[in-house]
Amino acid sequence: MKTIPLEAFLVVSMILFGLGVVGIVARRNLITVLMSLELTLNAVNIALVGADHHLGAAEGQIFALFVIALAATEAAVGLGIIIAIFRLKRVDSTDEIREMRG
Amino acid sequence: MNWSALLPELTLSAGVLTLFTLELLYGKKAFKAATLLAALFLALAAVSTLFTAHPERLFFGGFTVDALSLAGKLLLYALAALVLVSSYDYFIKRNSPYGELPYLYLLAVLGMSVMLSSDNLAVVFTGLELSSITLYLLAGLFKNDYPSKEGAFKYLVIGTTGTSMFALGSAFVYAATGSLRTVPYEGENAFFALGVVLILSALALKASAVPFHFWTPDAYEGAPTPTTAFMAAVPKLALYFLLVKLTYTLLSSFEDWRLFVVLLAVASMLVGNLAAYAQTSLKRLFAYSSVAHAGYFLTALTAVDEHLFAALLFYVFAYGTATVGVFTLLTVLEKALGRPARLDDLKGLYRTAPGTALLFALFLFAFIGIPPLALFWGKLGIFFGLVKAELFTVGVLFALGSLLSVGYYLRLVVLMFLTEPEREVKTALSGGEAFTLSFAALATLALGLAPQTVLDLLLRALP
Repeated sequence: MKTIPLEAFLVVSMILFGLGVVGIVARRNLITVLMSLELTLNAVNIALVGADHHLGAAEGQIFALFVIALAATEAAVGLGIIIAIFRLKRVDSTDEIREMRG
Repeated sequence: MNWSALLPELTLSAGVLTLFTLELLYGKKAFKAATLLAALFLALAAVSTLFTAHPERLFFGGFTVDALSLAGKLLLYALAALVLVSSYDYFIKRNSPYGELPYLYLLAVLGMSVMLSSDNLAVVFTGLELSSITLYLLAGLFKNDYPSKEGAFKYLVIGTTGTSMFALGSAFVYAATGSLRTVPYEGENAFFALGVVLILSALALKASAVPFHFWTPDAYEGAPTPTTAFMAAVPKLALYFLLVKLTYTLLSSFEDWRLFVVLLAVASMLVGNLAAYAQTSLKRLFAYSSVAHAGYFLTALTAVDEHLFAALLFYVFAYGTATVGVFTLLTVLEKALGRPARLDDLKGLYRTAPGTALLFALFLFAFIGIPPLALFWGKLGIFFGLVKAELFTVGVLFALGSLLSVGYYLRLVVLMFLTEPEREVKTALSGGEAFTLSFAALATLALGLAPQTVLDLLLRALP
């Protein structure tokens, strides 16, 4: 069986990461911004697990588990802040949370 | 396994659990006592660094205790305790003495502490995240206060982008070197280079260097002012200890690292200093001043030299103390005015509140780098270190960048001393604020007169 080369994993993860960053910059809905953040973190997991596949080690997979747990925490805090913003202002778009300037 | 190597972290963890239980039992009533207890735990942790066994490797090499990380922890805990002591009165006056505050501060410090004492990228990542997520919470803690939430959300989105940049960089370094440990790497590899650039960018983002600084003014303005003091001083200290450690190993294994760091530094000095001139809110002004300082600090990471690094870490600590002082003064002004202080509020402050104005001027002169105040030795040390490392151009850029900042600091001094007051500002200090202010002012003066105390500690600790 032919194995997948390391570069393939890393390039895929880079593309996913790039898409996530584009989503963070271009999307307007606050929840979608948060989802794009999750996408960037999951791109990292692909790179880590791919590197393990290539090296035959387990360290990267352990790191990936850390990343998954932290992504969940991040999402919880992010959603909490979004709900608080929505309660105070009834908005859910990045166009409308621009009170602070300068 | 030698548990005494974990003394500081164990002390902090015990502090978190104790305060958590106290919060359940007493809630808001014991807020002042809980805050002071948290400061006490930090002081205990600072003392415990003196009895910590080192050098030591624990948890299968995931946790390293060496002289440098212990020196870092000592300064870190001292600075954090200073912020905590000053914070309680502001939250009580704003009618939001949340019991979560003291242990969240401790958790953030615990995360930074873990980050300092590991050479495993996964553990550094975990420590970085523990402190970052806690800081997002602290920034957005005010109930029914919209700017606090807006700042926290921007901080969270940009901070998390930085986090995933750090993790992706670690993944690339891991794929290239086959190890998550930060050791020097000999080979040439595009993925290794990309990994180092990503890690450096991520840490530059956390240190609010241009072009990753967009979160800084909003998060600083939105957060409760004592939290801003914390965010502006404490994580910076931990970050630069980490960056110095990484410069020895990872960064200097990538040959173009110097060019990349210089670009970040020059951009930060320019953008930070120029944008500071345009601010009317004092919190935003000092946010941009901290962007500019990120630029000064980064210039010192362009060469591997222990004197340069000692000067850098001394500078960051002295800057941290002065920053805590300035933001405590902003807290005092905010309490007197009932809203965040603006530039105009400083008009004629010397007439109405001479003590506040004099202290403010002391910290501003420290930022400019007037001898014999502590920050002067940091600036001088970095300049001579750069010249010694034959990076004369970088040294000149650093000096020019510092000159650029003189104008807006002096403008504040002129406003306070040479203009007529528009309104009466009655400032009142709480006991904690008085302690923090006098300590910060004395430290700024004492470290300026006897810089060798901390410099020697750092020089002995650096490998």
